[in-house]
Amino acid sequence: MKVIAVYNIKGGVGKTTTAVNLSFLAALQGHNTLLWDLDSQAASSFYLRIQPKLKGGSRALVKGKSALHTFIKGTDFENFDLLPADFSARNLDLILDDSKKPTRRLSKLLQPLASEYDYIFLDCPPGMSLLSEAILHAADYIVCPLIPTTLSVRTLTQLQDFLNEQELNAVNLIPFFSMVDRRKKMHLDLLASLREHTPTILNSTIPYASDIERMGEERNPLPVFAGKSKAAAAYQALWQEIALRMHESR
Amino acid sequence: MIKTALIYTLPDECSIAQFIQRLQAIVDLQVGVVTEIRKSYYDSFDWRLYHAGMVLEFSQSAAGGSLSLLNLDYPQALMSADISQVPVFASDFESTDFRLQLTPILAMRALFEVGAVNFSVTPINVLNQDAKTIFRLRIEASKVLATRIVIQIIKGYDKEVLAIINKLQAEFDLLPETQALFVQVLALHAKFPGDYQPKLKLHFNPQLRAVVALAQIYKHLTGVLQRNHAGCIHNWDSEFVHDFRIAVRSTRVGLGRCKKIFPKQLLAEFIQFFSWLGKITGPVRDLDVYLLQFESYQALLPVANREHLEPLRELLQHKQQQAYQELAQHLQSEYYCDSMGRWQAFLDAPPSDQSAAPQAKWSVKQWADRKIWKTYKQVMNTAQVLSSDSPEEEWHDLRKSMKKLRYLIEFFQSVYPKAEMKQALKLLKFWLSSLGELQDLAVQIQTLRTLGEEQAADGASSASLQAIALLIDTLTQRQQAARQVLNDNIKSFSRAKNHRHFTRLFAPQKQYLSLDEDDE
Repeated sequence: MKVIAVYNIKGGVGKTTTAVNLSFLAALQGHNTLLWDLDSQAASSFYLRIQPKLKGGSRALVKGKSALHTFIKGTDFENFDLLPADFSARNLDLILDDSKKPTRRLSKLLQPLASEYDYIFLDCPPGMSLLSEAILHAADYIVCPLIPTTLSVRTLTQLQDFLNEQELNAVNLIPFFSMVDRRKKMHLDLLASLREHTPTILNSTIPYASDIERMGEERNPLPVFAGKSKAAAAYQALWQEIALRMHESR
Repeated sequence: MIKTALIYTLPDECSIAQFIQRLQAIVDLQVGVVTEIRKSYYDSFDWRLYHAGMVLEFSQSAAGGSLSLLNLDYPQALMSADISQVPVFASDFESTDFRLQLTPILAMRALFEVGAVNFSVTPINVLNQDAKTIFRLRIEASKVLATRIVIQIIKGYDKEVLAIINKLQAEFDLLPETQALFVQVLALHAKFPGDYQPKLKLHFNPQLRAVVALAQIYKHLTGVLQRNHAGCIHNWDSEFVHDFRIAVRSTRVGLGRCKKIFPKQLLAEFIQFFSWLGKITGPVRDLDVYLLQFESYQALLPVANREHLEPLRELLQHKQQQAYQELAQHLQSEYYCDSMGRWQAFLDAPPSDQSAAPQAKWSVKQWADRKIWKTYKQVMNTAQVLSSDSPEEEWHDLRKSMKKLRYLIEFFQSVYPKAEMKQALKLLKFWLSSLGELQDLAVQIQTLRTLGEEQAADGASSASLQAIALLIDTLTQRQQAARQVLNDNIKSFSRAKNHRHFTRLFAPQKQYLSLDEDDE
């Protein structure tokens, strides 16, 4: 089982669309895949038409009152399950704070799922919090979408510093550019200069595309309703490159 | 991920169109495109997967093929893989999961399609108010089976789905499928899983006439020969010849003890026929064994020498092909067909027509006591004179006698106490295994010498010849060790405790002792 957190300190960078599309592509390849919607906005759950509701709320889940698998829902796709978000997830920090060893809590909750899933994707809320810390402790890989703006890119440095601070050196940080508008000179310039300074950034980029925005309307992963679009091809290429990076890092 | 499904049969009076129409009135549906699927099932000739509680299901459609290993007790896929063709042997599987699961069960046996059926499949997604699929339903219609409704529950929606399913059951009179599809498909082909049983498991009333029991034994063995005949001709896997030979040897052992009850001339003809069958299958079996053991031969050598045995493997494979071609000719020859036909006609004739000799009137218990006891005495006589100085031939004679004893005990075990027979067979199997190892090593060493000479004459590399020489040395050391173990233990076979056991089981009443002295 590999745990992949899709995370950035900054919001609105395309985390949820990335998490949904990458999980879908992993499942499509035959890997048993779980997506855990950790964001109280429940966008992943919405995209997959699953009610954002957990019996007993997030507290029951985090406190381990019921086994994690009892909260899991199958999506409309083979090999692809979702652990839906819950409105109570907005209090996850407080709930975690109330637990023993809060930063290890998510990792412990995921352990029983190791035999069932090949990949667990975590769709993470933005910000730096106790929940973020717990996520970073649970993850084997952090896929970090970056908008090619100075501010967004700064968050990558902040994240790297935080990982160093927490001595999470074993976690693999996999950044890539998201919402790239190739018509904007600033985007292209930033892409070039950042790649030069940060060679770990993936070559694949996700374009700014209306097809991706349509996910909210279609309530499906992108390849389901726009399989031949450039954006779908970009996610496919991104997943292939991430899979290769994971393979190389073993 | 384990996938569970609920399976029902649609009553004949309800058409698929009616079913979908009425279903739409209850729940929201998304009806997919109808696809043609061929489902076929695979197992070994001797049903190894079935006996292990599994079966391989291969689904083929225009989109491709998918292989699933199913649990027979409930409709669950233990593992699945997209695959275009089912491999012949477990070791041929690309998927590690399949290979690891199937190899210990199937070993050297090939997979065969044991049955197939074509379905027109209508996929339907049942949706909730968010247009989310809460369960999948497949209507599988075939021309030869009742229409199946397969419901795949999606994780997390059990409660709401079960309520709908209960409603469907009541609405459409759906009946849960009571027999696994695999069994239904096999029945269409008039096949029954587990129907090949090479081992003799006949139960005789001890008072049954011996000739009747013998005819049943021979008929069973002849059935084994016929079931394996095609596999021997086509070399589907090594075990066809293996089972064929055991049936031949068992028949020979039985015939050798029937001189007083079967017509002399016919008996001589059949003994000759089965002796010929033993002879023509020998080379193939020897080569099969060498090739089956090849990896273990290589493992006996230092790593650096192992690859140099490959030319020997190629030579063995070449010889094996030739030997199978010759065997196929023999098994399709006029002599084989005529003799087998005459043998079967003889077995089908009423027993009373075969002999009026006193022995023909014996009960199976009387006959078995007498023959087993006599063979046991032969074994004892041979075993008692053996010593560390005895030549290989005498050890081989002991093995042959013991094999005869084992076959006779297996023939008639149902007329003796089960636990005591088990003990007698256990003792014999132990000794046969030890003697077999010694004999096999002697034959293997001799064969390797001959093959080595053949390879040298063909200009094989010195590394290959050295690898063969090393292997011969290793096997010779093993042979010496095996011989030493036998020397040290041979007296234990004839010790008083074992003798008492065999005497108690088989020593016959004195009035029968003088009646068949000229039997083999």
